[in-house]
Formats: sequence, C-alpha cells, structure tokens
Amino acid sequence: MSNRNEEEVIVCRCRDITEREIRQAINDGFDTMELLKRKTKAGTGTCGGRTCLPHVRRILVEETDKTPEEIDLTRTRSPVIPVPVRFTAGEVTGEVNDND
Amino acid sequence: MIERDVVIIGAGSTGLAIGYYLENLGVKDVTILEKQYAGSGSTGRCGTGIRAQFSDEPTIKTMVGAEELWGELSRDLGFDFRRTGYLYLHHSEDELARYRELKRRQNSLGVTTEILQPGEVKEICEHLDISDLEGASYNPEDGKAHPFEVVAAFKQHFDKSPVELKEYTEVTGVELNRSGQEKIVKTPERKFKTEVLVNAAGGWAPEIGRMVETEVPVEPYRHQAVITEPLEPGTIEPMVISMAHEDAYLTQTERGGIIGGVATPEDEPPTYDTSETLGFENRVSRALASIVPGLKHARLLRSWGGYYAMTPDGNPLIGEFGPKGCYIAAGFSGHGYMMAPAVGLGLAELITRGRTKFPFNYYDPGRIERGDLREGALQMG
Repeated sequence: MSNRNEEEVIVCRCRDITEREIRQAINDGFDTMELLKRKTKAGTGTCGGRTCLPHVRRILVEETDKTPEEIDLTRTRSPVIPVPVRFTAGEVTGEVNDND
Repeated sequence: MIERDVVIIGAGSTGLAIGYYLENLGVKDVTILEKQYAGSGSTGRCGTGIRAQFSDEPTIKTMVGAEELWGELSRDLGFDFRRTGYLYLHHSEDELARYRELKRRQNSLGVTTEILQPGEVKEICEHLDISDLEGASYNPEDGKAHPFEVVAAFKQHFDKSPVELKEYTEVTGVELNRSGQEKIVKTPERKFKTEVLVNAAGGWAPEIGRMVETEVPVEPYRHQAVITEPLEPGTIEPMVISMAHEDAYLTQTERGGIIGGVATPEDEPPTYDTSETLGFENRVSRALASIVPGLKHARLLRSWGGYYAMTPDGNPLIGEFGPKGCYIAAGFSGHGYMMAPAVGLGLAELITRGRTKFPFNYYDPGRIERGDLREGALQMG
C-alpha cells in the first residue's frame, strides 16, 4: 500500500476521521492525545475511542519523538458503553432486553 | 530570565481572550502560561451557551457587548458562533410573570427577548413537550459556540502571533519585588519578569492568589454534563432552559450530540473532584426525557464534570487586586466562557488605558472583603 493510500485510511470509524487529518493536526501543534481528540473528534464517537485511540497514539509516536509509554490514552468516561437515555432515567427496570 | 510586558496565568477562554485583545491593543510581549492544555479547565467542560438574558444590568450590558465580540471573533479566528437563540421554558404563571419583568429590563438594554406562547415554542423546536407550558422567553440573538473549536482557533492564532502560549507549563511560584513593581513568575524550566500579572486560573485562582499574598474568594463547585450520540442536525437548535426540571439546559452542538446538564445539589460541597456520577446521569436523563420525550431513545455517550468557580455573590472578580500590577479575571460562577470576549477586551483596556467601556466596577474584586455583595447573576445548570 502506498503512503498516499495509508493517509486516506479511516482511523476513527465513528467520526470518519482519516490518518491524514490526524497527522495534519499533529503538525498544526495539537500534539498530545487530549489536544488531538478535541481538535479532530477522533475518539469522541459511539465506541468511546476504543477502536481508534491506540492508532492515534501510534501515529503520534511516528510524528513526534515520544515513546508509546509516554503517551496516556484519554480518560474513559461513564457510561462505558452508550446507553439509551430511558435506561439512565430509570424508566427501564428488571431484565434488560433492548436492541435499539 | 525572560522579560514580558504581561504574563497571564491560565489558558481557558478568559486568559486566551485577554492575550488576544492585549495583542490587538498593541501589547505584544505577552506570555500565557497553562499548567495543562488550553481549555483543559472549565472552558472545555462547559455547556457551550452564550446569552444576554440575565437579570442585572451590568451583566446584561457586558453580555450584549460580548455577543457582538463573539461575532467578530468568529469571523476573525474562523469558528462558528451560531445565533440559534436561548429559550427559557416557563411552567408556572409566577415564573412567566417574573420573566415578563426581566424581558422589559432586557429590552430596555437592547436585548431582543420576546415572550412566546406554547404554540410558538413548538415552531422553534418541534420536539419539545409543551403540555405543561405557560409560555417561554426567547432571545433569537443568543447563541452557542463549540469550546473545542474556539480554543483550537485561539491556539492556531497564537502560533502566528507574538503572543506566546505555553501549555503544560505550571506556575510554581511568584516572587514579589518589594521596592519596584516587578514580579518574577517561576515555572519548572523558565522564569518570567513582568510588571503586569493576570490571574485567569478559573477554579484554581485561589492558588495563584496565594502566590501574590492575596486571598481570592473563589470556590470550585462541580457541575456535570452529558452528551448523546450525534443526531440529525437541526434537532434542537436553541439552548433550551427549564427551571422546572432542576435548572436543566440542553442543546445540540455543531458536532451533532445533544449536550445537557442540571443543577448541582445544594448540599454538595466545593471540590476539585471532577468525576462523573451515576446519580447525575440519572437526574439529567429524567430531565432530558421530560423536556424532549424523543430523547429517551438517544444513547448517552459520555458524562463529565467541571467547575463553576463560585464567588460569594455569584459574580466574577475583574480588575486590579492585591499588589500593584496584579490583575484578576476569575470566579465567573458558571458564566466565564460566554463572557470571555468582553472580559478579554475590557481587562486589556484596563491594563493599557486604566479604563474600559464595560461596567466592570460592578465586578470590583475588593467588594467581597468590603461586604458589598451584588445581586446573584441569573444562573442555570
């Protein structure tokens, strides 16, 4: 695969953010995980960053002189998986069997 | 030792705006120091709303000016300031009557607030439940801007500007020079010598205050918020406020999710803990699902905590405070983000010219110690 194609690879599938956009943001000075997430939206979709943030970290390592050990992933927030509002509102109790 | 004309501590919306307007007024040797990343405090955790619908005259005037500046800034820096309006839902006759009074005061100061019938509310946002509604206050000129976009725009501006923004640079101490007006601001790697020091550290303003031997009457109260998965654009355009639902607010951000919050319980003490809680998720979910029934099917993606940096009277501290040349712009009590452009320009004017067109005497930091408290600003979420 050529570099050009690699750069069109979608890194964040929830938000459709490409590898090129991540690299561009790093070169624009958004060179930490927190800054990248807020600038590019990568990691703010329904998967909560589980799919993409390790890839974002790998790209950050490639673009900067940091090692993976120096880069913390961003904080995981509640709820751990997306939950319909009627669940957290307490309208659904007992056995949960919801497929929406 | 690096000599600067002004050192600003804190790169939230307030500190960033002060740096920006100092530059506009010709002060170029400015450094903004931020212990984490720009917008990492209250700015990046806020509800995104910008309104002139307040109750006291100075805050209304300040916000009328701020909304004009938000418009200019959005064009000059390249972010969206969307004037999608603020809609206060009123569920009782008493509340509606009180807001009719506020509308008159707001109108007299140039704010385009109108009172709407429930049917008209439905035209502005079709998904709202209007069954128990008496009416609503609506100012179409109020709006919102995404804090991440705003902070990124400032950051990119400062990349090409003489104003220096130093992130991940914590101030560890300040030396006051007794004979002159010099202040030495210490960070782990560098020291800065300046005559003008601005404390824009939000919830952490008391820590910076102690470094210049000044007691800053600010306490951090945790306020939480949630965001749903992205929904179709245009789902909830205005910022919707409902006092009847624990002072709830909700709106759709330009990234698509519905952001919302409710008030913090009155018995929750001040804290630097920003953990999210299940109890909050439960209360805000009930509010969202009552105000917009369709939202019960939307999925919550995240919840998070931030601070309202509260002063004893719920109004900010803006101006010179403590040793000569030490300024403060903090304690915004939940309104710092929306006020930031006016505070930035106004404080830059105070620093360079000794006066400003904004009514900042009202926010005189010394008033708390004198016991001269103001009427609390109208507060939500």
